Amino acid sequence: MNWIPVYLSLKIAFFATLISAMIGIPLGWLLARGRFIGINLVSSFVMLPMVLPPTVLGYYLLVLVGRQGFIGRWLEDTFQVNLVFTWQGAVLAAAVVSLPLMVRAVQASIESVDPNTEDVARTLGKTEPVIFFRITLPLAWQGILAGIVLAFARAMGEFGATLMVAGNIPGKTQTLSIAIYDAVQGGNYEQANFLVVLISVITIFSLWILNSYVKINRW
Amino acid sequence: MLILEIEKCYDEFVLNTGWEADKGEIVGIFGPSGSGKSLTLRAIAGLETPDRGLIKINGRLVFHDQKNINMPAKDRSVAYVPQNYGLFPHMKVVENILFGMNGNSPVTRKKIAMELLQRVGLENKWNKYPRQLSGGEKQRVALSRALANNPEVLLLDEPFSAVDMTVRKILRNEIRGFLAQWQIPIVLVTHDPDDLDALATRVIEYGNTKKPVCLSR
Repeated sequence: MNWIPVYLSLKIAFFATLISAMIGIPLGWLLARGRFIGINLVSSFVMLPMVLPPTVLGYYLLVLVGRQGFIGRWLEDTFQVNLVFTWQGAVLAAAVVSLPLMVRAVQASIESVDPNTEDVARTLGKTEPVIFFRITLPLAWQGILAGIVLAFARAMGEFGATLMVAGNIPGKTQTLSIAIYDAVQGGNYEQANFLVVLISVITIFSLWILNSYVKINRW
Repeated sequence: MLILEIEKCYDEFVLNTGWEADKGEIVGIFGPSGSGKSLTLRAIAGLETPDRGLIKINGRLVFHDQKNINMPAKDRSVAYVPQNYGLFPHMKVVENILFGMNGNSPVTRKKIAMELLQRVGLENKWNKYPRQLSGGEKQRVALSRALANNPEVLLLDEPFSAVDMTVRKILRNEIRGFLAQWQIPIVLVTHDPDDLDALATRVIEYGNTKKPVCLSR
């Protein structure tokens, strides 16, 4: 049995979720509490990866971060980094694909926090960062955690965009989903079965953890 | 002393009001819903920005449109108790009160918080969460929290809307004695005339005569 795709997928999903959380939590907060012109535009743009076919998304990313793309050229010139056909490229693809799930979950959970609590904190002399970290975040935490788990699961299963950006290089960018496709194409059903069962177990396990955690309400 | 003269315009509605409240006074703002009562409180607290006018607290200008003064809520020293009290559900009673307290050492702060709780008869509920309290208890915690920092103005938005009629009567009596101890301007918003009879020393009536005359536009 070849375990490398499993390890690769976990690694890529981990970093993708991290990036997705770092961008998605502030963005979700902004969409929930922000009052600015163009908020609907930002919201629609963030949701794009959820509705676009993954291959289309992957193609966009390829165009952007490829050697000819302006981000790709900038990365190459400044950091001598090339994302195409690397595991870091797969992280980028998975992060972009999982971002909408993260943002939606964060936005919904922050919207569910009573704005009166935040207003009272303001009149009690608290600054916005203090209010965010001591009131909003702790109260929205369960929804945010759900977003993180969903984003992780989505990143684990990413196929289309990853394939476009990172390709299918065994041991380097061949993630679980891609390895399953590859195994089935090559008639290697033993490997395919192994990976399918494994990814199912991982997914069910993370959803189970999520469900049992969310039920615990300490206040 | 609280002085205000403000205008806030919306498409369908214009709030245009001006009045004063001296220390020790409990000014009751009375009127139907949608007449801008809560909006007035939020403007005094700094949670809403009027289009025009001024707000002065003990000689301090906290808002003045022409002088471009708009002090943020956190610096106004105005205590605000919203309609459903806005208690922090993830904090215990004592933590709710400690959250807003500044200065002093942590030990002193805790001591002051416990004293406040004692004053409202909740010292044995200090380690409960808000959901474990009755409506009246929640209100007392919210008041203690609001007053813990010795604010210069106290704003109460529909303080009894969350409790039923019978409890309301008892609470009015309780709160009256408690409020009398604070020599600061207190502004109370309500749509219930009984609240005014029981608590207000002066009444300002807001009508719903929606006169779409907006001077700032």
